[in-house]
Amino acid sequence: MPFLAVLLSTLREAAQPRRLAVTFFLVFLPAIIGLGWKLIAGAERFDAPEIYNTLAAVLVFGFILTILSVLYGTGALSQEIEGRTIVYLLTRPMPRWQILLAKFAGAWVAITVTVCLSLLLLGVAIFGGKLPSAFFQDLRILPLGALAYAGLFLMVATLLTRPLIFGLFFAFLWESWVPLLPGGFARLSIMAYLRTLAPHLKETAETTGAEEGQQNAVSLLTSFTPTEIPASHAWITLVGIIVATVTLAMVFFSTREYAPREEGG
Amino acid sequence: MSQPAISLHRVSRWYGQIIGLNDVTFDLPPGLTALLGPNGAGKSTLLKLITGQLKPTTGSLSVLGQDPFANPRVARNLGYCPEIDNFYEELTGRQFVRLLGAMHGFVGSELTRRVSDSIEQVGMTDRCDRKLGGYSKGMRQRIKVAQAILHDPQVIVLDEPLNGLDPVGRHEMVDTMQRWAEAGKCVLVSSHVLYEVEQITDRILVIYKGRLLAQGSVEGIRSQIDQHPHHIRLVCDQPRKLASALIGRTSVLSARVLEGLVEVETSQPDAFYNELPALVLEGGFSIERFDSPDNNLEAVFHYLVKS
Amino acid sequence: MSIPNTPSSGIADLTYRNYDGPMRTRAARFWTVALSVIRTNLKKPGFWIVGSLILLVYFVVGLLFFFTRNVTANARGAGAAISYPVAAQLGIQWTMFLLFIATLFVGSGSISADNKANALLVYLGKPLTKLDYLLGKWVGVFTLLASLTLLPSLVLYLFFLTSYYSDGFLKEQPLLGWRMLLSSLVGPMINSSLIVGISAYNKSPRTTGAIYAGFYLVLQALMGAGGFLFFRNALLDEDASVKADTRPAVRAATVQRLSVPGVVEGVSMSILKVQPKDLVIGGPTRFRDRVKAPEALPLALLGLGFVIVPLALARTKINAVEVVKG
Repeated sequence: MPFLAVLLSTLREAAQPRRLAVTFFLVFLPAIIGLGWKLIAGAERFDAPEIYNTLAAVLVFGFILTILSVLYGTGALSQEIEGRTIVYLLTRPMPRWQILLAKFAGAWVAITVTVCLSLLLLGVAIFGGKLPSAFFQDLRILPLGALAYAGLFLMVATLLTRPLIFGLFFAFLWESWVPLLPGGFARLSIMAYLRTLAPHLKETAETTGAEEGQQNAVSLLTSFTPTEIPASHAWITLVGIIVATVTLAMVFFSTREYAPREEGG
Repeated sequence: MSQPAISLHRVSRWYGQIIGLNDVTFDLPPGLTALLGPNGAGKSTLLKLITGQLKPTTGSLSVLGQDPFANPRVARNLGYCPEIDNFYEELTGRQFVRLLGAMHGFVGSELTRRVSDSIEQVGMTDRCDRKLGGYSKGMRQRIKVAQAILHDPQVIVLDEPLNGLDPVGRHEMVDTMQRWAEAGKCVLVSSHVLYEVEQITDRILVIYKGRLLAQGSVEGIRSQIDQHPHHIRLVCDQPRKLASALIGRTSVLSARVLEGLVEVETSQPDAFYNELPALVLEGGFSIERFDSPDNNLEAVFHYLVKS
Repeated sequence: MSIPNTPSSGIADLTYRNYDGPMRTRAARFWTVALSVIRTNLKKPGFWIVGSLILLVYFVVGLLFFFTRNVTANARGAGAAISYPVAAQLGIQWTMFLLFIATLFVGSGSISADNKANALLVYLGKPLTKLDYLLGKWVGVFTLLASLTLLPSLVLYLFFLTSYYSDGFLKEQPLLGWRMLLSSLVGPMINSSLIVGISAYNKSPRTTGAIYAGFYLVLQALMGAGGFLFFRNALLDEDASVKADTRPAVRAATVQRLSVPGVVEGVSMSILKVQPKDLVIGGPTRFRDRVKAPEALPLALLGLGFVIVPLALARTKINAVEVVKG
């Protein structure tokens, strides 16, 4: 029951009007862009799988998943520390690891619901009623990606005083550029493993006209994972990342001090 | 209780190069004890160690026989009212107390009852359904105390609990703390306001620059400060004659004649008080009143700090 | 003693204070606030780490310039070398994200920390108007960010000057120094205005940082996607039509840059007189030539909006006392 109380409290914070507005915006963003694409491209140039692949890869996986994981993953702990309400949590008869796990679970639920809704709306906007198998593949992978990213950022939040900056650095610099480096650098990126499990996100579709320009444009967007990683490796690595980061986060939170500084005495 | 509720043995706490707490040892039995010290003395550090937020750098401490750091068993029987003024501002007072009560494992009607009781104890029943963001300082203070006592803990630690309270509120809070102490709880209250502490209790822990200077009752501590003689003022009709009669006594170090009174310095106050009635009868003096200007907490504190 | 510019607000009204001594000028007032911002942030290791990384990137740009100019020029011909303005532009573009990170470090708590600590009551209780306070905060953040962009630009310019003076650098690029100075200030100006404006509306530095990051990244993603769509269509239209019309491609390039980093990139390209095709290092020539430069005016206007609007909103928000409802 205490676990549930903390979990529900975290979800309640995610449902604050300000945050809810941002959530709604992110949920509708890919669908709005998809519909815009449909409108601008016209019927003869509208290739639904290509557009879905591009927007899912770039917007849902590459942007919404990562930015929400940074905000919620780091915020699960750092918001309490910065707000100095951590003292109330630390003086409850709840094992610290349980408190952190409950906060993490709440963050993960908030991230997963948002990205999955976002993907669903994108799929409906692009394909209408008949959603392809690729969509369901992505829907299965997204919660896993949310766990991996949120776990990593949660662990960072237990160690650093400004985890948000590290999170943004990792999500938007590291994840964008490291997979493009030669050699096996892609294995240092979580996104590479996610794209391995959803390989359609790397495909480029056939195009009509302006082939070279379009191929360059599309391949520019989807050429994030040049290194081939077997699917089994991807599963094992992702599960390993989740288990390791969350475990380490719980260990650090249980053994380190998080007392807020007083103003005076 | 066979063992002290709170026990520290040679506890020190460093913040880098700065000593927060320096070799502190004491045992606290049940009852109401005030932790007295100026800002920066180490009071908050001590309370954070006791409530399990910090670990000692050296030494050991126990609360209810156990190490309090990250210990749910200790937290189950410990209530803490922090000094910081931060809350989940979007919650109402009742929701806030209820959330923290739920984290104690209370559910359903039991939780509701405890929340209502603790809110009533702090006098916030009529205002607890407003958002915390709109509370005054006094209201926030009361809600903090409510969350600290909701689970009926054996040990209650309060950091500057009278901050922001109006005089009536202070009086009510002091009464409440004394009731807890009478019920057998160990209540530790920190303050840097001397007259406040005098109202709360006679048992004090004096801390200064990280060191524990004294522990015990105000009088007991005072009597042990040998290098500071007691001052006693006697208002009488014949101050000069009284002074010359007193000066010959071995218990009197000096006697000063002031306007209508004699101020006596003595390092043996008990002996002096024993001799005084006979001396007064012998000399036929008429003593209107007498008091000791330095037999109070402020004087005790200043003597301790200066030494 | 007469006090100029007595504002209407009672809190900031200077006339009732019983002080008849000399008053320092307005510049000293806001500069005091700015200096406090600068001093606070100079102590943060994060600021120096980001600064070092920016310098490192400029070092790489310098190396790239040297390599393409000196080593490959003979092998492939003069066209393979990147020009001085292109190197300067690459420096700005490749450090854009680091500047964003630095903005978070330096600016997140600029006003929100004061909101949290109720320090505005103290600030505005002094002979300090809201404008002094806001200007001081902005100047402080701007100065710090500008130092991160100006210094590396200056180092790059000095590298050009000392290494290529005999090659006719000054004759070839007499105004490059001023252009580099100006283009280096665009990013700090926009970023500092946005972060200070957002900070005024929050009580938590973390929330300020999150909102600013959200605005920065979401707008970039949205406009990037929109620009890509327009660009793709423009290319296809170009291929399909008989007459080449570059206006859609220009429009696409403009739409793509209607974001914070986009405006900085576009405006600095205009100042440095750099074409997008010059920035594509390597790659097929046909594709490079089809990428058009954005229109400078819309980007400049948007940039101006990014500077003025947040500060104007911040000025209305800054108050000594907050009224809490409910």
